[in-house]
Amino acid sequence: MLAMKVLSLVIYYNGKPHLPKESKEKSCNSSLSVCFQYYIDNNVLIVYNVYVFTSHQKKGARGFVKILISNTSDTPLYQQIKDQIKDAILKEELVEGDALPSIRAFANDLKVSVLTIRRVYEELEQEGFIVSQVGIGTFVSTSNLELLRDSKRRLVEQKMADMIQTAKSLKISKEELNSMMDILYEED
Amino acid sequence: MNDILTVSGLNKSYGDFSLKDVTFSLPEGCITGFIGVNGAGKTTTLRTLLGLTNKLSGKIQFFGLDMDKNEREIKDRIGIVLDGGGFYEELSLDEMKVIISSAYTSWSEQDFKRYMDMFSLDPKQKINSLSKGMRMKYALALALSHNAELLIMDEPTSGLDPLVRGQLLKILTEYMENGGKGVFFSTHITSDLDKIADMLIMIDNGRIVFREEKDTLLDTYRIVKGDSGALTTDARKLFLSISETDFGFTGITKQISEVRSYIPNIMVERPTIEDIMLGNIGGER
Repeated sequence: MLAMKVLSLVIYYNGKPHLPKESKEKSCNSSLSVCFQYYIDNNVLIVYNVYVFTSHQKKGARGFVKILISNTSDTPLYQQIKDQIKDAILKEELVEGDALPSIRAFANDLKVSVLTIRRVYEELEQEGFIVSQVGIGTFVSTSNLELLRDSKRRLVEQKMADMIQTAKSLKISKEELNSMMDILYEED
Repeated sequence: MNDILTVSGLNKSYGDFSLKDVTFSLPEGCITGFIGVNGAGKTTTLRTLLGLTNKLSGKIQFFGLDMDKNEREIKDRIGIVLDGGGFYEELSLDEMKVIISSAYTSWSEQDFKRYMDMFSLDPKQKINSLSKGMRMKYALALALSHNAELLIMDEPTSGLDPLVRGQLLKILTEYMENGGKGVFFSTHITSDLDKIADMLIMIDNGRIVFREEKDTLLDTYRIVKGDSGALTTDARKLFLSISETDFGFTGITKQISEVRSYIPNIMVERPTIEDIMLGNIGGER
């Protein structure tokens, strides 16, 4: 049994934090899915589906991976799922050899089509993050470390590009930006 | 990935209703929902596919085999659940089973008993004593007891309460997990499909409107709510359908980015399959 519980999920809407008004939980042996519903100003209904599964490991279960699917995001469903699995691998929440759920089990738990999960797994395999063995299952494969390192750098570079663009539009200089980064990096 | 069923150029006429050039395919390994309003042509399409009624023209292939040439072999591999069931009312469930099971080469008495138990059906009961829900369960028990690769069902959940509907959906999921290659069922109860469908095919007035992955549909369409005053003539063209009240409008669109550029203050939500179906019904502007 999964010995954990997702207590709550605070979301920020227009800069203000909101707690969920309702939540529905469903758990089975190795996964837990919770659906949180938020009412903003008694109006907007935002739904987040949080899905948590343990990666089966030789050393014993560890590494909880959470997948959040938002119903108000413009990003396609398969992209949301794929990005979060990739994220989990880059952050080493999922490591080499960890087993991912079967396509159908995953699709059922996330309430998406098997075709969507199939696409997620196919693309992740093409990009070298996972490997699937017919009849056995799908596993995380970080054997291509170069690729992994590149992806990590690319992720940060993307965020940096966004940050620089915002700074430039607000007329914040490179020096200011650097000193801001020095302060914030020490903070965590 | 092979297609488990391909239909091309299917035409059929019934007096004042006809199927026009119906063309679609079902990918293997998927649960496909066939949606449309009453009278759109769902039952006619399914009956024609199964050879229960004649077609004017068109090609139908199951498992890569042509229906015109391999009807017997194909039917052996398909499990069907049709509205009403087509059973002999005076027979008992057991007697009816004897007739039906003899038509199939891979009948599994073990599976049949298991389903009869699961559904709490008494084999000695007469068919005319069954409620609607029990009838569907009986038909399902028969359909699942001859190692069918494909399940085809016509409105299996209409008239059933939510509990029974939930049970059916669970059985379909298990069927797919245990070697079933596909399920094709028609329905106008779209909330069932929200939960279980992988692919959706919509028919309206005898024509196929779309054949699309469920998640792609949910990613492409958006429900937009906003102020009626902000709806210019140009903005209206971006919607498939709009409903307006004194308090604002609700519309469904496939062009959400354009809508955002025309109307700044809007609330955007993902649609349900029902929204998508209603937005695609002819003449709904």
